[in-house]
Amino acid sequence: MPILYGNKVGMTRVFDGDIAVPVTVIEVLPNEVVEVKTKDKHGHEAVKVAVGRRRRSVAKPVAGEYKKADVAFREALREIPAGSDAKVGAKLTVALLDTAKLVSVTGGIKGRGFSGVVKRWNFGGHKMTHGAMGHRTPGSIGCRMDPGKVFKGKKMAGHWGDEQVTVKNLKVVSVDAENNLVVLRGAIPGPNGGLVAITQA
Amino acid sequence: MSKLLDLVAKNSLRKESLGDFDVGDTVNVHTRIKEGDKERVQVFNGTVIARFRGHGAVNATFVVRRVVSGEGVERIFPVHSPRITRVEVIRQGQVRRAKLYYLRDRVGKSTKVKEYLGEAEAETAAPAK
Repeated sequence: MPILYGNKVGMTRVFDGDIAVPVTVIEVLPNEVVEVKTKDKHGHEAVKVAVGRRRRSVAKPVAGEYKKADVAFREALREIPAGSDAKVGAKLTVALLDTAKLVSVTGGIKGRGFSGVVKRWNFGGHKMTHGAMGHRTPGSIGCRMDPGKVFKGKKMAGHWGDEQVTVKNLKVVSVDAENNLVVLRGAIPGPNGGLVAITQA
Repeated sequence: MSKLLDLVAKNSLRKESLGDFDVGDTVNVHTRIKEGDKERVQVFNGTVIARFRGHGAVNATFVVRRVVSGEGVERIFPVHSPRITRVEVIRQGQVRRAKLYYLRDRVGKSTKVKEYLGEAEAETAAPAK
């Protein structure tokens, strides 16, 4: 089963029997094969697919790749392991998903900019009153002469975002081939509209 | 975007409406509950103090409050839950706000919501005073 790329639509709820199930909806517009890479020519086997929403224009050098395969402009080009139908122009759709199996979803998290330790690492912060001065500061970040350094990986303020996160073992609630929708139980990373990869072992 | 979400939730919407009820109404909510392997209908009686996320969307909920032996109890019901079989309006209330959270701070007689007696009667009743 190859990797499918889609855009997160958002979350809603459905009722499965009597139980309310929180679900995330992903719109997987058919991933179209743009190029087939072979061991002889490229050194590895893979297919390059055009994924995501349609675009009116793409950068000139990239446009050439789309034109060569006669495929409409899309949000991104991604390389995935070669599947059985590795032909230029082939369309990978939601029909490939097995609803009985679990899936993993990989995507970029929402960007939060430069964040302090309270927001980024759930530090408790300090007193707001009684003469306290550093309300949201991290406090001590280590000892003195011994060890004489700040340990690597110390939780500090900084850029929070631009991270890739994978959520594993999500149940497939339903697949709507007509509307190119995949409905998964639970939450996935990223903002609504964000590009995510769905993998099924 | 939300069109696609509506599409997914379409089948989860209830087929028959629960009927007209609004904030301030005193209602009996009939819910199916499971006890072991037996199923029976339980009735929760109280005042609707809030409705959330519209009346039609799949996420819509409403909050019913009642006071049980001096202790306030609030239950949140999803409008489209198949477990809710019926909402019976016992008494229509006349209220001036959308959320009746002020009832939480009240005890005894003041927790009562004024009854709605229809437009005409409400108007004639006021100047008569």
